[in-house]
Amino acid sequence: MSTRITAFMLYNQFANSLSKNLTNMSKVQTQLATGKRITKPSDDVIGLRGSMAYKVSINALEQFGRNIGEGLSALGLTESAMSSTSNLFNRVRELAISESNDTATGDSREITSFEVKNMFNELVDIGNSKLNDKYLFSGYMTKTRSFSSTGTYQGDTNNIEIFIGDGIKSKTNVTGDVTFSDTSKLVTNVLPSTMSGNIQLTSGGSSYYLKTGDEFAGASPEEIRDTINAPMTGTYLTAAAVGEGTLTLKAGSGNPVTLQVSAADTLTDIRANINALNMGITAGIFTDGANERLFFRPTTSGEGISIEVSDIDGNDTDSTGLSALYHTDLKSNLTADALGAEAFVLDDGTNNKRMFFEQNPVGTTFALEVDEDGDGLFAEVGDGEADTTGLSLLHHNSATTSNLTGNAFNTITFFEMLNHFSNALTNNDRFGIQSSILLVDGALDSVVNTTADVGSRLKYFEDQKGRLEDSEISFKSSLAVLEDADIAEAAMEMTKIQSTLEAMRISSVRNLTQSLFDFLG
Amino acid sequence: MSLLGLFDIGRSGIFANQLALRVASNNIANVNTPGYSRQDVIMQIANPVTLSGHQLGRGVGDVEVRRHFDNFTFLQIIGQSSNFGRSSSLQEGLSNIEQILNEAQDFGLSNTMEEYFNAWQDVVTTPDGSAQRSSLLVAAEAFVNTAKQIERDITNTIDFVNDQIGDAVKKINVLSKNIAEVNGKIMEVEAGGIETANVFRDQRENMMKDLSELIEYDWYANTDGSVTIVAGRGSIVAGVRDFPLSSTLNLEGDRDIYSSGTDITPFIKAGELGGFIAVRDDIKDNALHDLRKMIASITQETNVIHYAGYDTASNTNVDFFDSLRIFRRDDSTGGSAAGITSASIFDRSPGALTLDEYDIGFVDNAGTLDYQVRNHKTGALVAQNAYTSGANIDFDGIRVVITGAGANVPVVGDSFFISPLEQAVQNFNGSLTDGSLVAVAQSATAPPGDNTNAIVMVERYSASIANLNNNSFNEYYQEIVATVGSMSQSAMDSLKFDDNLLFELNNRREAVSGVSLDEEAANLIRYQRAFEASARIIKLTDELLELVINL
Repeated sequence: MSTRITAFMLYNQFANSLSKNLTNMSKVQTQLATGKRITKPSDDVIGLRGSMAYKVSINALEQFGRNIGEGLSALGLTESAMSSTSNLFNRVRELAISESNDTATGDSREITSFEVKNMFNELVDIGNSKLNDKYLFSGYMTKTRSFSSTGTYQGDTNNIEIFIGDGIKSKTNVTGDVTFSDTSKLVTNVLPSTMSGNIQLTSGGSSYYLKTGDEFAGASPEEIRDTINAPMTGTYLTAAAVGEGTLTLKAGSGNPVTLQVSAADTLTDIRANINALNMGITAGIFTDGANERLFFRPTTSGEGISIEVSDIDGNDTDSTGLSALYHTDLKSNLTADALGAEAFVLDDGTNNKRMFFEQNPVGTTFALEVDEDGDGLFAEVGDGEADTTGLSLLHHNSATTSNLTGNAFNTITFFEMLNHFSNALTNNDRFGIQSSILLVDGALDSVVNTTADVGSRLKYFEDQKGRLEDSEISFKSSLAVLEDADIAEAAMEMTKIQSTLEAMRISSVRNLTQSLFDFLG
Repeated sequence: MSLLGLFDIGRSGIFANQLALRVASNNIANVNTPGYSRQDVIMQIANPVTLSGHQLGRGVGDVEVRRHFDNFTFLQIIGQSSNFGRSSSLQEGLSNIEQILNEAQDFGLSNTMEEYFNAWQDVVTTPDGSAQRSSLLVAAEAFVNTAKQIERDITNTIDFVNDQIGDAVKKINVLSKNIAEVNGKIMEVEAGGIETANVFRDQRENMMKDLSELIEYDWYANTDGSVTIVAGRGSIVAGVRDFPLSSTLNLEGDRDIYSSGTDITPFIKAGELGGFIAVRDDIKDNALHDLRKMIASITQETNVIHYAGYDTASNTNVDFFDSLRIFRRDDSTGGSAAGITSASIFDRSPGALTLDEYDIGFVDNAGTLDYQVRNHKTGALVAQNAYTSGANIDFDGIRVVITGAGANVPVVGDSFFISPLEQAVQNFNGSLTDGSLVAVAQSATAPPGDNTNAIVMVERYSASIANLNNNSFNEYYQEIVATVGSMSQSAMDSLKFDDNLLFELNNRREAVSGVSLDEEAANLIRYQRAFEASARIIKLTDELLELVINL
């Protein structure tokens, strides 16, 4: 027997199907109205998770985009400050070259010095560049003027980092202390007006002893500079008492001078006698702890000197007797050796003199040690030869001899350079002006380096911005796939439901209204 | 055999068919009455008389009115109604929560949380901007308010569910009382032992169906026609007696169900009531607990970092959000009068304070009273030691002190609930009144461009958090929403399934018990014709008698 069907069951069936179809219709209607496939989490849990994750990522990307925008304006302003600085130093270089000519006069130099002083103020303004009321070059201390009117850096050394990607931080600033200095220059602290002691320069494996035996006594920084630039040369080992004989000394274009050495003369006596001649050769003694050596250097820097030996024993070239002082070079003109370093004095006009050293030629390694008490031993901590007083200010305490990068040495700021230049101009100091060219070249190098650094970061930020935008587009399209309703499909679904509903209504109206009662008379 | 016998035959036909017409009419009248089982008449041949060796019929004999009823289908409907009731209340509760956490519409917590995190990034980018700092506090406030709003909506839903539980209990009690009454009526009618109380049985079955939608129960029919109904391990109807359930608020503010003084809440699994209890626990254990844990974790991580930083005036050791507090509750039933003297956090670092909830109980350890700290969720033992009045009970960064003498000394069976989460959202507030107080710097001199502490903060906000199962905050929140979504989805699926099954069962019941108007129309004609014919027999007999009389 088949199942009994009652009218109520037909009604029920109709009502149930109607409700199901209307539910579907309302869902499709919502999809069409909102354009979203997921309108509540249970519509598609996996899809919603994905869409939430995408939304978080898109949100983060937009935030990174804003951060990068801020970073770009800071870096952009830094770049333009660097280009102004570069222009300024190019002009300074031109001035320094023209004023270092012999044709330049004290008057023209004085006039130029005013211009340089103005440029100094201009540089201070550049150093105090501001973005949104923040000092660009002050590190963290963005509310503090980066440089005082005298060019003293007042910020700190911190780099401000911002987020430019997920877990990616990047610097948006450079600090004034390194940006407005030449870090490749090796500058001492402020030196006292006079210093005493010995200096040993080591370059390319050779050591040069300056003012050995009779130390610098009350030497000025300029005197030390000249000594370093024209050192004594040659090392000659002798006994305490040298043999009898004659020395013929000649300096530059002067006449040869003969010096009698008696059997009783010591090395100290010979030094004293030579120096007493005052004929253009300065002699010195260096005690290396075991032996004494006699050194010579021209009294006037750059002059050739020659020394000939006539030994009483008849052999003028052996190592016995006075001929121990013999050296081939000394027979002809003796020129100063290239030391590997050239020294300069920095003078900003305030009597705070400092020295700096240049590698000569560039790339030569050199080291500098001092023997302040004249005991022949260098860099003795116990003797105060690595401290920050007296001659040891010149000492660099680097363990290696690669560079003069010890604690005692600083970088030189652009402002100090300008002060030095302007002071040299005022003092009509040609050497000072020439050394300024050297300084300005260093400054320009430094500016180029900073500009390259900032420029590459600008490029990085721009690239990162592009990458973020690409990711954002791809995330957005992924999100759309997950979240957006397929309008065409939804519309088709809607039509389908509508026709089902219509068919249902027509058939049910026909079926449900029929009853046997209709046919009873 | 006399002619008068024909009268009797005609008369029995009239009576029987009249009754049949009545039954058919009653069926027609009740065509739309829910729970009505169609009836029909069963006519029996009257006992014959034997005349001259012939058995001659005497018309229609006993007439029985019978209802069409399938007991097996009824049993299935009772069971399925309970499932349907459970699914519908589960779905109702969960779709509410789903609406609250509706991330699909972009108005959820995720958005404000993200805005808040982004505000920190703006501070990183512009640490000295007072606008950025103020915006951060505004974003924090919006985040705090959204979190609170969501918690309030969730707890409102729980309150609503609790109200529904109370209402369901009332409805159950009305139904069980009525069923007991109808039981009595059926017993009276069917005192003879035959199931004739068709109407009352329809009524009772209808009520039992309603009852099964409210609460799952077992039942059996007694020989006297009454039914006994057992729900949650206690009788609610036995013969003419009903045993009302009661619901009372427990310490957590939830309604527990009691039957004759016994808590039967855990035994009620299905029916609307079972569904409401289940959905309430689901919401509390998942959405609510997880939301609180996430907010507690944000409070914890943010404060630890902020505390170490420096604001614009170099102030340090200041919290960004109000500090987490320990919620405590005396869960002891009976036991001593002991109470917790103080409960605080002594180490709030994420490594120590793991954002779990605990129960402190007491056990007898070979004559010594030991306290036992157990994880509220897993039951794992966290700490156990001899109890000393006033001594610190330290575990996972939390310090509890229970001081007591005399009646206030804890005893075995006392239980205290300790939670850093319970009020985490309620107490979730920004502590700072001014953007300049945000500790953005790590250096004590706090130069205006020092954004290092804010960097640490931003990094933490996207890092995986140990206390959140190594999820980041965003991931954890997505997990919360996804959990609710899939719970709601499966509730929806169950509801569809249960609804469909119930529909089929009702159809099956309808196939047996439903009234078919066509059928009844045919019956009407059929009985009408039989009635007419029987009347004609009487008329014919009358004419015959007249003929005989007039002979």
